[in-house]
Amino acid sequence: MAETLGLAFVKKEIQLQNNLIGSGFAEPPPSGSKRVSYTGEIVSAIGFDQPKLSITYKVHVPELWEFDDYNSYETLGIIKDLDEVNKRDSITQFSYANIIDYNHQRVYESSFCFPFDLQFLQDTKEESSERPYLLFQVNSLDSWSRHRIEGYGSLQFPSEEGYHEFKVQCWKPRGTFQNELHSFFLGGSVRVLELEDIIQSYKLNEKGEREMIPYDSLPQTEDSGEIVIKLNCLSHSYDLKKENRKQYDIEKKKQDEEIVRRINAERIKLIKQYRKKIKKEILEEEELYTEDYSRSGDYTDSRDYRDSYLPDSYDQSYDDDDRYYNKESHKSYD
Amino acid sequence: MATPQLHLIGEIKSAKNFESNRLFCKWEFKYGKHLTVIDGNTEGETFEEEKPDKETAFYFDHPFDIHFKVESMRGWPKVVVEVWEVADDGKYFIAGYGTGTIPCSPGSHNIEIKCWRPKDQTWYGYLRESLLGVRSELATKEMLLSSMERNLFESETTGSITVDIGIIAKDFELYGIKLS
Amino acid sequence: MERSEEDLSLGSSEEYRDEEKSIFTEDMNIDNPHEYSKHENLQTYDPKRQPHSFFYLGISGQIDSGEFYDRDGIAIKYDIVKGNRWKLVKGEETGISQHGFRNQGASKRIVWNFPFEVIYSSTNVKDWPQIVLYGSGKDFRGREVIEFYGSVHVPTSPGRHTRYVRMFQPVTSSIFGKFLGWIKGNPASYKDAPNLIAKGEGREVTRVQSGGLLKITFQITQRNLEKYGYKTTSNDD
Repeated sequence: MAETLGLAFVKKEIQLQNNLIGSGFAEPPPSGSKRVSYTGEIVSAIGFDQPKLSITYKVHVPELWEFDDYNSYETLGIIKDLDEVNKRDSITQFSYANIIDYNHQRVYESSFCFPFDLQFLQDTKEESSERPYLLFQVNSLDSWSRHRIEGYGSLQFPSEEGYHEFKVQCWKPRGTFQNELHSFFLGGSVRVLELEDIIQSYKLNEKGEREMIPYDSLPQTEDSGEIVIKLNCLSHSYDLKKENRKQYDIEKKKQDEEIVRRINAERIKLIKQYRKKIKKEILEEEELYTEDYSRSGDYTDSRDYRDSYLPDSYDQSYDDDDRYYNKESHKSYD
Repeated sequence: MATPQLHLIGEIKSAKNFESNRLFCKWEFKYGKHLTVIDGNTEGETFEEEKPDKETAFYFDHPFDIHFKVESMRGWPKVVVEVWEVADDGKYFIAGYGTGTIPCSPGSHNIEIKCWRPKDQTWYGYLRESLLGVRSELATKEMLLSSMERNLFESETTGSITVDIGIIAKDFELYGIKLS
Repeated sequence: MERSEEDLSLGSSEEYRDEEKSIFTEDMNIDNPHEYSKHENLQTYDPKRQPHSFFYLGISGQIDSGEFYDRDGIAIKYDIVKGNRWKLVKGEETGISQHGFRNQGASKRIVWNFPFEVIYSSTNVKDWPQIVLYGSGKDFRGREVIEFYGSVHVPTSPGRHTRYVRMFQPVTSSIFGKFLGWIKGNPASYKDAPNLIAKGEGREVTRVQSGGLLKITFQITQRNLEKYGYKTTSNDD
């Protein structure tokens, strides 16, 4: 195990791991804008009247948002083809449905598993609540090859990052009795010409001002089925990076200081113990050394100590032996 | 400060609503150019399982534990699944294709992948299917992951596969990526 | 974490002398403190010396109940399989439950309510722990024979989770010949057998039939994972 091996081995392992992983990453967009990526798929369509369906979708981009197509570092996703990225509109296959139980009813479900991969550049300097939309048109084909339109729906892309699952409710325009008859026998339906019309809530009149669309001019609609969409929302921004790094640096600094403080405390403790130990050894040695020369063991050892300690009224008779033995270096008390 | 890392830990859990009684599943994780696998298998095959008629689902419980190094926001992994059924005489036929996006928010998730398989529109194909039991497969699997128009293609819906997955992400905030 | 307010100065001389440096271990002669904190995590846990230590994963739960088709009298044995960086701090990695029987009525459910509790510490998230389960019953001679197995990953996000695990019986044993050999009494290969089931390799050549379904409840707690930079849940944002 690593703990039984030395520090050098562990350092090398950490270095190998860091070399393997490295520290590179794509550059964020310049400050004041945010790159948002939506990847997901159109999973299935539930609850429509016909079993054989296909979905056409189109992406609607408001102001302050734009498609981020030509980013030199990040253009390639999973398919290595530039056309796959940021496909503005596309159409799924025709899928024949299964019958499932949904909300206590037996309904048709057709699965598509159609992926989409969209990347936008959002301008965050101005506050805006407009977000891009995904617009759907559900078509059906029956066994006599008659095409009909089964519904329209729209999905506003979420503002929160993360994994989301949506069920888009769809509506179908209802025509006059003649239209319905025509549709039943020969196919074809009332259509909305521009897909963007389904999310328009205002229009520009002759003076160029915004005006609500009067509800009489809109077709009557009836309820249709649901489209299931699952998508991931990721965002990349420079401001967030700076903010998070600042916090990280502050914490790291605190941690480093704490480590240094603790190591120094340990070191000092060890040194104090070491020094005490050394002093004790010296004292013991000197005791051994001075035991031959002193008569009583109550005296302390070194001469310097004795000389500085003795008061003036010291009785010289006690030092007779010492004076005898150490004439040259002995201080006189006279 | 190291490159952000992503761990995918979980199981290919079960297969539901397929007609056949003997199935196995081939799974693969597809990821973009800027992700690198450091550890773990990104593809595999589960058991070939036989189930009695009274059960409604197959349970594979095939574990995976993958470690990625992520260098860009683009190319988040997806799981591509091929479900094969085994006929009584031992021949293999396709029972479904499906793709699912791996969630980007950390935590435990349960993904359901709805599968479809190609359906032959012609009379010849219909006869072949009903009398001989031969089904058509996809020749190139590129179309599963591409968003090119598929309007000339017909398919039928089959069952679904569930994947239990746990996402652990490291150091994404330090590079300015918000995951949840 | 106590902070001692003792006098940390050395007294007369502020620095330690050269000859005294020999008493320091190699650990304390560092220039880059952050590197120190990483390597020492691989040593034994010492809260006084480390500002942040290993991260901890607490796995507790119970094997609730299961349904096996016609079988009765099954005991469940569990085994936790993990990478070699994970260290056991507390708890036991294996356990055997009692033999459970069905109710006399028509229900096929066998209830054990067999608890387990383990705490692991590690520095790296790879090779997340898995629980491998064996179901064994007594044969006609009264010997314990292992018939079913299954495995599931421990959930990665904290909180309460329920998992359903399928228990399998191999139909033809090719790669599982090795495994069966272990059952028949070959204790030397015991260590490999749980890994074999948990890894998922070699599964494409085996055919299995399902033997039953087990329900397990997990309660996961984690500590210090954010300090390593790992995010395992998006619930606290």
